[in-house]
Parts: sequence; structure tokens; C-alpha cells
Amino acid sequence: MATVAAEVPPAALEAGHGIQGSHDHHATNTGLSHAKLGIWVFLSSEALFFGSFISTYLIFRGRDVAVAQATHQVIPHPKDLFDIPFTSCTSFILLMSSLTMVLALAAIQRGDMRRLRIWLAATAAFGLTFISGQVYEFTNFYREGLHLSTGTFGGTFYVMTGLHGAHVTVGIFWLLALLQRSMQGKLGPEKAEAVEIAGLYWHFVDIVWIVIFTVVYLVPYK
Amino acid sequence: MTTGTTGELLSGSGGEIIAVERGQVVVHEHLHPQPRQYVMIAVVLVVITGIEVAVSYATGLNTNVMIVVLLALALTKFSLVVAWYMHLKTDARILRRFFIMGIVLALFVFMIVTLMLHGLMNSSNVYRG
Repeated sequence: MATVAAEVPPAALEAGHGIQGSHDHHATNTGLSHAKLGIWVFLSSEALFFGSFISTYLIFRGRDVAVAQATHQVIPHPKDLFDIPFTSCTSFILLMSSLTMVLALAAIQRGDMRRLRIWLAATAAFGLTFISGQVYEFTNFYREGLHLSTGTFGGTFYVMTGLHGAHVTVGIFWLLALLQRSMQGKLGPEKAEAVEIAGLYWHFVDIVWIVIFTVVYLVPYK
Repeated sequence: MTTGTTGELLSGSGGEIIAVERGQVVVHEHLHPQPRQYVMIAVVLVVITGIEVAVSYATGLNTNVMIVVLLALALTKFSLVVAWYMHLKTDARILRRFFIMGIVLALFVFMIVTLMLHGLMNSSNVYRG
């Protein structure tokens, strides 16, 4: 860990611009910016939010099939519904969007605004592709007979993955807003934290999908 | 807001720790990873995803073993994204604690809901498979 020291006039410190550089600094009690601390508290609550939906899905997982077999009902089996190669591709796209997001952050931190715009646009485009894939998947499932009211599987599956999709959509709007601000010249290297916070939200959405992809699609159904 | 007293901490967005010591702002460089490292992590994530999909198609594998392997791979991917892309590896410890608290509470909710529904289902015929 290297250490750099700089003389700073009290007035500059007062204004929160302690040192010259590519980052904006805020004086806080914790030594962390309020925005960064705030997004982590928010993400912590989001972990609880998605944790509840994933828990509910896991608890009811496979029970519909057992009930349908006992009562001679016909409901679509997850094994027949899921198109693993297709969902693997959309998962790959979401993973790649996390890469482009950190590359956008690295670009703004070194003041490369052209690359920032490229990587932000790429991240939004990957997110949009993921959402398009989800819409296509939902449409197919609906045609196959899996509705929101098709037992506990339909309800828990659509609510959980739909809420995740809603989060991705919010993230896309956030990225597009940053892109617009950057094009208007309102997002310079001193605002790198704004990109970092959007990135934290985006990566969180990605890690939620990592869990959903495994427990919903890959773990085998009996 | 008064700033600039010795021992005070300021924050930056590059993963650095900034403190005021004897009237000087001292930047302890603790920078985020470089683009090359980000790309390397992405390659590892893609490889793990490929292994996950391959494991899910493995017919000769015991189901319980498959579940354990898939969950371990997902946990690895989760940890890599959180540590490297979300910078919890290099950022302040308090942020790590906040996030871990959320995850632990989520697991706690899972346990409570499981136990509650297990009790409800045992007292009802609806979900007896």
C-alpha cells in the first residue's frame, strides 16, 4: 500500500476537495461517502428481499409435480419447460455486462470519457438483450401452459424471475441516464463515484441471477 | 461540515483510503483492480458457468453430488463478483460487514420460513407428496 501526502488548505478541505485527482472526496464520520454507504445498506436489504423469494421458491420446489401426480392433474414439468442452452446464453450475456460495467468504472477513473460511454452503452445493450431473452422465455412458458396461477411453481417462478427482470430494467434506465449525462458533459472523472454506485447495483443484480440460474434451472428436478 | 483535523478520514471512489494527518491529506493507495484483472475474472466466470452447465447434463452423477457441486460453483462465482467487481476485497471492512449481514439475515429468513411451512404442511394434507 503506497502513501501519498499533499498539503491542503483548510478552505479546500471545507469544500470537500482535499486533493486534486480523479476522485471526489467527502468528509464523513465513517471515512466513507454517504452515497456508497447508502447503496451498500440498500443492497443488504435487497439481499433479504431476494433471499425471501428464493427461499419460498426452494420450499415449494417440486411439490406441484408430486401433488399433480397424486391427483392425476397435468401441469408442465420444469424439466420439459426449461431450455438450458438458451438460458445459459442469457446468463453469459449478463455476466459479460458485469465485465463491461467494471471497465466503464475503470475508464472514468482514469478520465477516459470515450471508453466510459462505450462500456456504459455496451452494459445497457447486454442488459436489454438479457431482458429480451426473459420476455421470449416467459412467452414460451405461457404458451406451454405455465401461468402465474399454475400451482406454486408458476407463482414463485414468475414472481421471483420477474422481480429480477424488473431490477435489470431499472438498472438499464440508470445506465442510460449516466450515458446521457456523460454525453452532455455533466459526468466527469470527479463523478466516478456515480458510476461506481450504479455498478454496485448492476453487479448485485448479476449475483442474484447467479443464484437463480443455479437453483431454478440447473439443480435437477426429481 | 468541518474537516481537516488530524485523524479524520475522507473517502474516495477509487478504493483508496484518505486520511488527514498533521494537517495533510494522506492518500493510502488501495486502488481497484486493473482492466486486465477484470478480464481475467470474467474468463474464470465464463469457464465456471461452462462447467456448471456441463455438470447439469452429467447423467452418471449422483443427484446429491450434483447439487453440492452446482451450489459450490455458484458460490465461487458469487464470491468472485462480490470480491473483485464490487471491490469488497479492497474496500472498507464496514461495507463487507453490511453485505454479509444482509446475506446472513436472508439465510435466517430461509430457515424460519422453511421451519414454519414445514410445520404448516405437516398439519395439512394439501402439500403431502
